[in-house]
Amino acid sequence: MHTATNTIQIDRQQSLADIPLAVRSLGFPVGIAALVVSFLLSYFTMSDGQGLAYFLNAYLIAFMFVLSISLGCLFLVFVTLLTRAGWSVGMRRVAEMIAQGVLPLMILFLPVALSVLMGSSALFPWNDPSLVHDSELLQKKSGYLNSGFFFIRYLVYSAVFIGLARYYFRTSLKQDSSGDPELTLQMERTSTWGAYLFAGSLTFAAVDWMMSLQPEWFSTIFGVYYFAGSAVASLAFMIIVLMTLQSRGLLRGVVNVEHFHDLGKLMFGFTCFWAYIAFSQYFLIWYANIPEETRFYLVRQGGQELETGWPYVSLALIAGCFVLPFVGLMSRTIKRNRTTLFFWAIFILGMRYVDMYWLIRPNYQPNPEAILGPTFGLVDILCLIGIFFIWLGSIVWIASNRPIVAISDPRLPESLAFKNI
Amino acid sequence: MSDEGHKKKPVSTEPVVAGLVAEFSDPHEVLHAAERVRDAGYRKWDVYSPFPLHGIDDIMRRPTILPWFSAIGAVLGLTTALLLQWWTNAVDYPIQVSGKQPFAFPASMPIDFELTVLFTAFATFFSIILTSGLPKLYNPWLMNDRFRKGVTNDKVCIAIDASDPKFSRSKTADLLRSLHPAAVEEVMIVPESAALPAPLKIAAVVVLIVALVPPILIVRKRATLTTTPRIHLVQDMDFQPKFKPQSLNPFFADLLSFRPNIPGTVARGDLQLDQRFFDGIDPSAPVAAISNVAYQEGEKKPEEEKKPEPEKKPEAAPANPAPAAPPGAPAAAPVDNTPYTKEFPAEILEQLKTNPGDVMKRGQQRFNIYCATCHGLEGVGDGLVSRRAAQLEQPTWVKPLSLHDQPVQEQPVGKLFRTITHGVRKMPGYGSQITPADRWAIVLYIKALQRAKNASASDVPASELEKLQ
Ligand code: HEC
Repeated sequence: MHTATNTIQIDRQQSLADIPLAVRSLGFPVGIAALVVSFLLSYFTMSDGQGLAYFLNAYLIAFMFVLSISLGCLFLVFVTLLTRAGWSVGMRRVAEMIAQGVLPLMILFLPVALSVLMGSSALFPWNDPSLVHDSELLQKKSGYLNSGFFFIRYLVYSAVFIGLARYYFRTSLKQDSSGDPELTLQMERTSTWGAYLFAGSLTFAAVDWMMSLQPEWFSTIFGVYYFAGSAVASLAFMIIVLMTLQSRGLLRGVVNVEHFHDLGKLMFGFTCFWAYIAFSQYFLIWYANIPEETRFYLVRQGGQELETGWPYVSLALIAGCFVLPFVGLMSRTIKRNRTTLFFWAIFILGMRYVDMYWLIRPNYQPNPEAILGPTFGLVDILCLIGIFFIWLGSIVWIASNRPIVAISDPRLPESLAFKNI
Repeated sequence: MSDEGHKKKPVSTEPVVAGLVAEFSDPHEVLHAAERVRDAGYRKWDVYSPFPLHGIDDIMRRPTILPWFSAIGAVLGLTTALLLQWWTNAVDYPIQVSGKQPFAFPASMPIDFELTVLFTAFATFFSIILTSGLPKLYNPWLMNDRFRKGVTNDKVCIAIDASDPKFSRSKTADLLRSLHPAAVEEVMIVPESAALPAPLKIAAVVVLIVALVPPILIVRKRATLTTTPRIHLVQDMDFQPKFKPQSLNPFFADLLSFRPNIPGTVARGDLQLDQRFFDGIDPSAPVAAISNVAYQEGEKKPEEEKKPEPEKKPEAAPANPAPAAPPGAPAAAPVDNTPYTKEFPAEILEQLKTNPGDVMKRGQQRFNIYCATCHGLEGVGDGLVSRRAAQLEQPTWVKPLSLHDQPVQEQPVGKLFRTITHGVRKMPGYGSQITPADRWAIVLYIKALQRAKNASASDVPASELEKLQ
């Protein structure tokens, strides 16, 4: 129906190479320095070997947070292909690029995976033989929760995530030069079974890397919970990145208010989805009231004897991850206004970190007698900066000199002419 | 509606101008055209399109108020859900479910969510219909062929009503022509009375009257008595080829379909020789006492049913001076000298030897099902039924005895068994619902409960005791 009367001239040369060199080359040095400082800080200032446990905990929070952005973008890539979406084609390349972040991230997970392989239980209690010896439940689970299998699974997830991310990026780049529309169809077909691989790997990765921090606890919806958060995080990050690139003169005309409106709608929708999943998890556990399930919320919600401060983090999560964005993003006007949408994207992305913090930090309990309340400090900030910068630096490094729009995609004109009702 | 005034007066058959219609084939042109029409100051005009036109409502300056209706629906739905659940669960009929608050917010969420969505959907649906001016029985533009065919296919039309104060046949047509339409046409209609045509009115009245027939018939049937048999819609379910008790049966000489027992036979499962197991009676007791028991059963002689009850009374009365309002039991009742068995029957003892836990678990389960409603899970008489009755101050309610009262504690197991089987005073018998083996399991469990109530520190295993201290 829409004949693209206003054909936009796309600069074929547009790429991240247009970003000043200083910004591009800053990622690695800053990131590595931050991680090293953070490690030394926790290792030498904290007493009786708790330094490592605290550092790994902070490291994992930052890692899972950044990973959720890349995985969410990978999801956006194949789900828009799977649904043959037209509107998103102009920004798909950016999502493909952010998805490349799984490559550095899987390498960044190596310290954790290796420490588990070497028998450290600083992060994962199930790796402590004496603890397993005392718990029948852990003995039963040890067929799955053991260091060797854990490492193998890590390799499998890495293969799936990296394989999928590289595949879409490569194929789509190939199309840039060949212009073969068949490649789009091929990517669509791959997405069918790719979606299953992705969903399975993400679910089990979430179970392995976060749920097993509290090995006796379980929640069958946990993978979906992490997925829902990833989708929200990636949409927020996409909005931020697209607006930043536009302020630097890239992607002008390719992505306009209509596309931002749609990203905002999706962000709103997935915010509700996250809340739905989070509530489903809470509701069933609360209702069934089975001790080994409720312990997860016992710490976070607090009983009479547990005035730790965690309940406030939980309330902040309800407010910040659902109530406020739900009300704030409801209006069409807000989603179509760059400033307000940018604000909500930043806010929501920040809350994604809080969610990961809420999931992971309560498992750092050095003292079995008393429950430790929320702690936050320089180590956490440095871990976040470290992982984020290395991740961003690698993405810019992988993506620079590549066109930032999938110029030959047959649906690009549809995307450019896209208008909301 | 405003059409009514100027169309009603000239009751001539002269056609008049209803307005002007401009047809466009390019939807983009329409947006510009609509802008011009709006800027020219027209009020009574509209754009008709077979598909959604992006941005047209902004151009026409007709912002939709639909979201507000949806929002009102959402708020109403949420309030309804919360009030409904709070009132029914916490105020009108408070019920405890697995230790939760009568009104627990998390538990109410699914219904809050569903009703919010439902009410929002209803509000949106009906306000779409109302704000689009539906149902609309008459639209003058449809008199125009070009409009009718174009707008229902692939054309977009702008229509300006002749009743608009700025409307003028020539000037408005000029304006429309300057917008590059595919065609501009004047729509002529023969003015008709805006009132409903008479046949329609008659039809409506008839439909209404006919619609009243079923309810009237139902009301009439409910209010009158009749001797005619009812209509049987499902014949073979209403008339099944079988004989009912007490009905005639020409097949037998005595014409009874109910067959008497054949002398000298016992039905399967009815041969209950083990008196200890089936009756809770010690078979080694003197024959006279046992035959007396058989007589007390009251199963074969219903008129005797009340006899065993007063007999049991005196035993409980002296030791337990206040068993919550005992019913007027005859004071001078004979002493109960039924030879109750003091031991469990051999069958149960055998099971206890091989797998004692099973019998106890079974007993607990059956007790919680059949007895705990009145006697409470611990047998102290605080079951849900009892508590509810106390709350409602039911005058006829007799509080169940505590199973830990001294007299009940001292009862032989056979007596407990017979209490379950036949009931006692106000308590009904459960013999028909619970199998003998289960009854014995319950007795075992009651004994365990009683023992547990009187437990001392020495009963606790040393290892557990340490933990407690
Ligand atoms: C409908 C409520 C109700 C149920 C169900 C019920 N009871 Fe009772 N039970 C009573 C009441 C009421 C009394 C006290 C009767 C009285 O004093 O008139 C009683 C009394 C008793 C006594 C004391 C009898 C005595 O000799 O004084 C025993 C033992 C007993 N019940 C056992 C049971 C067992 C075992 C069950 C389960 C099979 C059971 N009851 C189920 C209401 C109930």
